Amino acid sequence: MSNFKPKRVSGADLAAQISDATRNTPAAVVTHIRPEPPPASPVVEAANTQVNFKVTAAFADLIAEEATKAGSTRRFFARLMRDAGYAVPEADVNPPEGRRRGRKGG
Amino acid sequence: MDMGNILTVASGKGGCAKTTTVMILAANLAAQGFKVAVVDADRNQSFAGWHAAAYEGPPLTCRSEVDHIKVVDLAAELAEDHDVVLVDTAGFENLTAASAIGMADHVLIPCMPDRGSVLETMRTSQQVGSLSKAARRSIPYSVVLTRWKPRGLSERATLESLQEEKISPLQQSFGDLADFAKMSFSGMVPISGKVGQQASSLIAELVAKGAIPNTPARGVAA
Ligand SMILES: Nc1ncnc2c1ncn2[C@@H]1O[C@H](COP(=O)(O)OP(=O)(O)OP(=O)(O)O)[C@@H](O)[C@H]1O
Ligand SMILES: [Mg+2]
Repeated sequence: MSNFKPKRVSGADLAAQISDATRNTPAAVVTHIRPEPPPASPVVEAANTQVNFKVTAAFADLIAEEATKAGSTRRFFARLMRDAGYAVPEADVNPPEGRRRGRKGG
Repeated sequence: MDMGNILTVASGKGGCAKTTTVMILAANLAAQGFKVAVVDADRNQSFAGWHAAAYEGPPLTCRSEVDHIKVVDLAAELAEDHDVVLVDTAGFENLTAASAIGMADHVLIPCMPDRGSVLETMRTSQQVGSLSKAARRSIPYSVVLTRWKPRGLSERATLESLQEEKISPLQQSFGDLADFAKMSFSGMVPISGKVGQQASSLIAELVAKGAIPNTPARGVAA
């Protein structure tokens, strides 16, 4: 049995030591290997662009299910991409609430 | 005081019982009087979530860190005042898991009785080898058989494939038992009975390999 433990290296040193061996290894969280994303524009841009595309019925069901959990399809994709490290405008991640077309009164 | 041991649980195979192994070892080591810390380095946070919401047992330190640099510094810091630092990693080859292997005093690779699990066990053991070379120090590893049925056919095929690769798993395996899944809900980790016995004898084997200190030096986590 050996209880010999060499002095521990710092995270930065270890990352440098193993950088060749991990050249093709993906990050656990994408954010950490991307260069800093440019700061999102502080001006809240209005949502004025429609996105739609054809998918298989099964994928559409999956999106619908996840979108329900996230609050909306827009929010779902926005969160997913922000979590993956992309600079998603805040307005898409947290859209202003309750301004649905066709809402009566107000 | 001597530094505690960092024991990383890793495999490129998703769902091969990494987190379950960490739960069992953490609670059983703590029950034996070891001061135990767990670093959850998987972004799915299944250990940390379970620890916060369900765990009922002797106290453990639980921290989350998925950054591949910070995880090394955190584990080193925890090893200064814990006997054992267990690191749970994500079930795919990723930088944070590579760091967790690169910093480990010992790597534990759980292997279920199926072909995919065997392939990932081999791949992970090769990864330990290349990281060990890169870090210029030896990083020992052990394979623990999980969800194991003593006389199953796929179990036999799994053993044969491992033997072909000159991998000899630890003597003690974790059986395929409902108690393992139950504790993920109840938060109560068996420290006696069948599961508790399997855990104790696995711990004894890991102690014999130097992966875990002989005796607790610090008393339980606050
Ligand atoms: N020995 C066992 N007997 C029965 N069920 C088990 C056993 N070990 C693990 N399981 C069950 O297998 C499933 C996967 O286990 P676990 O979450 O520990 O795997 P993992 O390797 O951490 O997965 P991931 O790669 O997603 O992190 C869980 O539902 C767990 O309860
Ligand atoms: Mg897990």
